[in-house]
Amino acid sequence: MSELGDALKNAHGEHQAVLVTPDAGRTVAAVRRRRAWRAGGTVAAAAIAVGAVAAGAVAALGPDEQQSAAFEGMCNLDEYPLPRVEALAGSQYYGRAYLNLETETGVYHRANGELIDIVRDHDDDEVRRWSDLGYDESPIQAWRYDDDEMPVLVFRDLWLDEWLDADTGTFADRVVVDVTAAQTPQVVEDPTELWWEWTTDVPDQTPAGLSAGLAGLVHDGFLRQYAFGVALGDVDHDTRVWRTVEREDGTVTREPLLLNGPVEVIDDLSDVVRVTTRISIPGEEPYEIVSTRAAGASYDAVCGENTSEWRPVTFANVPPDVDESYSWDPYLTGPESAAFQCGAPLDPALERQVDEVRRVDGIVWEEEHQGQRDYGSGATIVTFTVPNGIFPDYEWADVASPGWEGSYGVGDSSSEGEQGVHQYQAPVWVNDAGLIVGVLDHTSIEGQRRLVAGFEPVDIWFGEGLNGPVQGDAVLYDDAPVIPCVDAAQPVSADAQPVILYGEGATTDTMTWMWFALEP
Amino acid sequence: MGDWQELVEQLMRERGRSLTAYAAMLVGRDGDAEDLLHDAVVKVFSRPRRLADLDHAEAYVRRTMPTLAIDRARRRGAADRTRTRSFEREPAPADLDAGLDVRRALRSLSPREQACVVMRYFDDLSVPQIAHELGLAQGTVKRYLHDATARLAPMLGVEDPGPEPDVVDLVTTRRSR
Repeated sequence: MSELGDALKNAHGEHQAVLVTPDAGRTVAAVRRRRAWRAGGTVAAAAIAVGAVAAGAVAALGPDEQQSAAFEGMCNLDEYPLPRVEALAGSQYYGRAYLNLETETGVYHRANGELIDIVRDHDDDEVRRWSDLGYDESPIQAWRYDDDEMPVLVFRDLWLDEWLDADTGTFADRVVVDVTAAQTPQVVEDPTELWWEWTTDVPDQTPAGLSAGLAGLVHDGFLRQYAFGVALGDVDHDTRVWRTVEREDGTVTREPLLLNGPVEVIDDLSDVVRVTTRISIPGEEPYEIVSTRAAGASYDAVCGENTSEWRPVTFANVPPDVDESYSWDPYLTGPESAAFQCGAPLDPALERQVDEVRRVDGIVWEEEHQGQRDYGSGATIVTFTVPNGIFPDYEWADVASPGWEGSYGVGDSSSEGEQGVHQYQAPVWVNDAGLIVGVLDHTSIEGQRRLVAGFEPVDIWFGEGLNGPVQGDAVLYDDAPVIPCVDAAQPVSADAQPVILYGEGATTDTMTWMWFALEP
Repeated sequence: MGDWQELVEQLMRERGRSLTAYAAMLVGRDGDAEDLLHDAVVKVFSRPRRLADLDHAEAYVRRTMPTLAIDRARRRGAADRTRTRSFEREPAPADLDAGLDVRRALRSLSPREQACVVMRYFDDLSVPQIAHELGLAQGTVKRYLHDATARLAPMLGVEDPGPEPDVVDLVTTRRSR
């Protein structure tokens, strides 16, 4: 052999002579663990054939045996800590996954204590997806096989690329997600919050038609800083769900969680001491889940201390969703001022009749929307018909005044933007003399949401679609934020009547204007 | 006690030091050698195999180590803390002096060059065999060896073996009867 070969072999011999015999115990334990895990994988594969019962058998392998074998002398359980599942309302919480998006690897800490290495799957991987078979942990629990035909657990795409954006720098190269019965995993913005200060009481009895697990999922959303909507299952349309939040200073806020409606996250949990979700189903006893904070309770380390280095996601380099410097101009200061001005009367020639006006209040189930809406202390729903034209000579325009919308698209001849429509819709308030004296507060987000248009969408893209009269609704809430527009020092009188302004046209200068009075 | 467990214990007891010294030529520091050996043994024995005797087991484990070492270096390069944590349990002991000059020279190479040199000049494998083991093209292996030995030779005061000769694969075809 060459001189180089001799050098290597001599060095190897010298080195070997001074080494101590390695300990076989750790290696034997690791082999035993891997073989056991492999056996577990086999059981899991069998679970495919027989569904949930066999999947339960996988869990029944149990955390104790696997934990002691897997982490003998090396405990990673505190490096990837599991939040205190007992703090939840029994809400089908499956586990927490710590994902490194750059290296596409991760660790999944199941609620039963099991810690599993996972990798990310790719489109070209042959991945067996348990989700296709109804298995609950589908975002995580799929697998493929490595070179040695070992099952390798993978996490699926999970829209996580939104969190990793090389172009803008840092979204997050590491993300923590919770896996629950909600199927869509929830990103944990603060992995250091492990819920040890919280305890939750759940009623023993569950009303007919209610899933305790899903009710718990809705309730637990506050703890996970994630909003789960309340879907309509078998419960009555008149079911009411309320969330009550109590804070250290005694403040109590109560808000409805609407069936098939939006739910908002409780932004600041720092001074919240109690959260209650109350579900009232007609004919049943109210079902109430209560979470209470006991300040000072801290993480109970599994192996010694919390060694996790996972920190909250930082959004420093994330561009804001909206340009916060953007602000609306006041109502009636845009192109609509050609037809409607503050302090001026409405042109009688532009008046049109509404189709229907009705009063609503409180929480109402609406068949049309297949969901509940909360009209609070009261609102007026105005149904009216508009021409709904589409204009071939449409010209795009950027309007900063609220109330304006526009649609344009490609018609049959496929020249871009060749047809479209500008639309304007806004309420104003007129006094006894018929003069416009009030408008919505353009600085109020609530004000922007207080007028709900229900027109069918204009079908621009197919040209021959809904180009013709269409009926829709506008909702005017009694507590809409109205401001005076003539004299800021003169509040709008309670006697002032709301009027709906509407316009549409090819350009903002060639609009067809009209207005609808709510009162005959 | 299963047969595999007896074999693992015997392997570590009787061949463990030799295998550790071999691993030390493939890693970036002596402290990682035992972990590489550990992982190689785990990989080999974690599924049932027909390992006839100790020699067979040792050969299997040794052949597994270069690929594992390359994978490990790649993961470490990607700063993959989660996947490499098993190598980071505790501070590594100081390198032993014995044969250290050669190991240091080897560690100046890239992980793939390092593996190719060890397999070629310690294991006496041919270029096609190395290419097969590492999943590389033969030309790539030759290039690694050429570049690596050019740097190693002056560091170790030995003659550069020079470029590998071209190899023609002999292919045996089986005739259908």
